[in-house]
Amino acid sequence: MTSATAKTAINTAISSVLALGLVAVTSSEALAGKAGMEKCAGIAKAGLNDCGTSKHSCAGKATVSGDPEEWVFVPTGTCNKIVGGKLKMAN
Amino acid sequence: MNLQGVGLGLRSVHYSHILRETPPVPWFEALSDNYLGGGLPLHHLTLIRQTYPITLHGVGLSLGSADPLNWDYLHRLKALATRIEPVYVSDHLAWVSSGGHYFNDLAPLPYNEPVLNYVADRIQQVQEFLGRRILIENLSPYLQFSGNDYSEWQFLAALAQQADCDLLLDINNVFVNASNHGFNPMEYLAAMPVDRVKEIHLAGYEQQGSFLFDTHGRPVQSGVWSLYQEALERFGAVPTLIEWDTNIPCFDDLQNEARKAETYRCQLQPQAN
Amino acid sequence: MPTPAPSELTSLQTLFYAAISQAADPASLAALEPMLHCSGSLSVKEGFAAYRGSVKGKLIRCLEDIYPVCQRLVGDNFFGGLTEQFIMTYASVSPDLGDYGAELPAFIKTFTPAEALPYLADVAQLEWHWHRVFNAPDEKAFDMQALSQVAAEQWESLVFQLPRSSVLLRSIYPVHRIWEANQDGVTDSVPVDLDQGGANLFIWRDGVETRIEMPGDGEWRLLEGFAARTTFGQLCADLDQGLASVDASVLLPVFVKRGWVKSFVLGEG
Repeated sequence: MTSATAKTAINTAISSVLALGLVAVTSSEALAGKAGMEKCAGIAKAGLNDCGTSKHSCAGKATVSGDPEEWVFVPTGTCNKIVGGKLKMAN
Repeated sequence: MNLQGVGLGLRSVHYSHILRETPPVPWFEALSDNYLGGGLPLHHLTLIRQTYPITLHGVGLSLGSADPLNWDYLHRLKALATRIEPVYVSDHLAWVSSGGHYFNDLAPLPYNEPVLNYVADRIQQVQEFLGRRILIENLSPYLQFSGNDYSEWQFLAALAQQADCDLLLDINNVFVNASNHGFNPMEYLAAMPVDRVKEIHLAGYEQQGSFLFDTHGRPVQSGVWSLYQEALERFGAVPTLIEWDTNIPCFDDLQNEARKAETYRCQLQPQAN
Repeated sequence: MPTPAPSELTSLQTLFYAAISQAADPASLAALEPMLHCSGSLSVKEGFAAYRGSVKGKLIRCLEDIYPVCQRLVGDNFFGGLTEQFIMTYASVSPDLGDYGAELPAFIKTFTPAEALPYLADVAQLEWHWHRVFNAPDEKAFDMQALSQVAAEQWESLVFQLPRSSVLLRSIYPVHRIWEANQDGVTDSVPVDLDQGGANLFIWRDGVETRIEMPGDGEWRLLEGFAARTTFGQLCADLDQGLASVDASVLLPVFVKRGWVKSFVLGEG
């Protein structure tokens, strides 16, 4: 079933993993310079549960009648900072 | 471990400040439901626990619900309690789910004999599973059922006795409740068994038309401070928590509320017993 | 034997839930009204309104907290309308509000007013995954000791597992750029060009740090193989095919080191 090259790959791969050693593997070194994204603000990401009564829905933000026909949904946020994509939208 | 003094509700916006400054706060109360996963929230709570005693306060037990107890939730709560070693674990005399649907808000119960037996049994199951006594808190109901056999305060006292649980007395809720439903809050306090009241909550309500809303979004109101003084007279200097959930202010403002509560506690005459 | 719930309590709570949930069933409300009484300044009608408003407020705030980029993209009014429609359809089924709102990305796809923003659903999907990965339970590090005990003849049957909370997300839009440009405190006014192409994203947590990665093609194929729970032997054979072959023997140790592979099981040989 498994070809000779695949067999070699398997053996090399597992041997290399084992060669990393039994000490705790740390990722910081392996990730150094890796262009990932992290959201630093995450530290203050709020817990979602609380035991107070919410008045949030009467804050006057979303005064919609429930029926989308009766309300004009117009995005007014930062989507105007996004350009292009005409062809995809037409599809 | 014994709790002392006036603690503060732990909120994520204050993590950095607390860890950096280690402010002189006797204890923090964490909302259990926000720490049932892992990652940064649990990491921060664990770090803060290294310096401060913690109490765990929850909203998800749904003790009064006709639904079966949520054992997945209970297992996660137990794991959290094992890790954090809280001084107290508490939840509400309320239900938050029906038929598996949750409204994530605290709804009131009818206060009669069958409900008393049912809820007391569920509290006992929870206490047995967690291996500790829990504290049950009174809420701010906006509706009340007709044909109750007990008033809320009678029910709570009977429940604590029957389930052998402790009580978390929310003074703001007693005040809001008394105002919304027209009873004397002193009658409520007088019915509470002194030896079972282990913690007191203070928070700010907001006026909404002719009634009061328990929003936890502003400083404690003056009527609540007066009732707190009455509670101190009856229950002694019970550990007290400042709860603030919306429009959360800077940490200094929270500490000022706590100092205010401390002032009232200092005015308390030492009990001669 | 636990005490069963009193039947009156079950029916009362069913009615109460139906009356205050977002569907606000009028029949339940009518059936419930005689069972309630009012003794103070709060009427039964106001009491119901208080609960309905509070339940709704909690769900909306929850969606705002989980989907801040979507809210920023469309503005408060649009997002308010969107979430109001959403909560009418989807009830919460968990005591933890952090579990609420998984269906919003799919809902956006069916939400006619969002048609002009075809990337919005994918941005929402990224935000949902980010939120879930952020809060996911902690995981143990890779168990080298256990791997060292697997006999070499069984190596091809190993199935390597990505972190349980990690997700592979593929979009034909540069959703990571949209996400990044709309984070709190970002003042960058460079427009995001939808024509710059799509994104293959790997969202995972390095300890307590939530990360969005953009793996290379080879990395992506290996991640997909692990996500599909393919045995390592099969994967090496598959990746060896074709022009763009991927050298799993180089990538696997790198993945283990980074923490992209957290555990393994022995699959069918």
